[in-house]
Amino acid sequence: MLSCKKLIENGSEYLEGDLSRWERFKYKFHLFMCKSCSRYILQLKQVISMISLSPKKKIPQDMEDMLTKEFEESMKK
Amino acid sequence: MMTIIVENNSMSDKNLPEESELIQGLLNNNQALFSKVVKAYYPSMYSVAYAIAGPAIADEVVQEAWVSGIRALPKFEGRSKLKSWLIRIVANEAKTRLRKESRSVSLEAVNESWATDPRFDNRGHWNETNSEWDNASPDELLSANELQECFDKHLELLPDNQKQVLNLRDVGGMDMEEICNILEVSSSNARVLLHRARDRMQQMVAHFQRTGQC
Repeated sequence: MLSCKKLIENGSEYLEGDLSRWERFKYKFHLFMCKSCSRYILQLKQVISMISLSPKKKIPQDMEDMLTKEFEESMKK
Repeated sequence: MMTIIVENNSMSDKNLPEESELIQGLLNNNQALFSKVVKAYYPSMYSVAYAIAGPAIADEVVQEAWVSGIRALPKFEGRSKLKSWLIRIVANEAKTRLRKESRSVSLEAVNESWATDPRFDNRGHWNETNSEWDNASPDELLSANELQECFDKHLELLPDNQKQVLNLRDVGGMDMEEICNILEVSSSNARVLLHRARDRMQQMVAHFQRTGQC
């Protein structure tokens, strides 16, 4: 059976759908049997969403003003 | 084949109208809508520019990308979402700027090893049971200020090569093939870098959940 360590190393490949059908079957079987690994995969999904939510920097006002002007002029043409 | 659906990375994306209405509004010179779009997309565009080109020119890169985007908007064919299209322009602009400044995208060889991972014993089993996290949703997890701060700090501390792939994939939502082209890295390296970065962040949150400390 796939070891837990090996499963963790391939976590993103599993989530990205990059494993072959057989590898995916073995992977899912392990997840079914192993609570720690199935938690890890759930946590990895949570972390990916957290990463996607993480950028919060606000646009500088002068850039927003410049782009608004550029948009206005460009759309008039 | 990609199976992950990357969630909108800004809450304000949700305040934007549906894609076709959005494009039509912009083509009809709807300035209020443009202002909303610029504000909503800026955080992700900045993160992608920052990851590739660094903090000194990230804002210039975003501005240039927007100017190119605005000028090309009437020809936008809607093959991808507007945001994905703009992220691609930012990533290419960032790479072009690096070239002009004779710097290169620093994707050194992947040299870390999984061999000595202290989470596992020598047979590859967990040393300790991987505990469940208290809060279920990513929003809930990030609502704790200390965790949010710690998360941001650790994202910043990732090696540059991991940060680049992570931002392009998980913030920018680009597909792996595009990322490999932009960063000029092999597919296998990009996948390893992506997973190392995600795994580090998982370990950070797990540590925080276990100890309450960053």
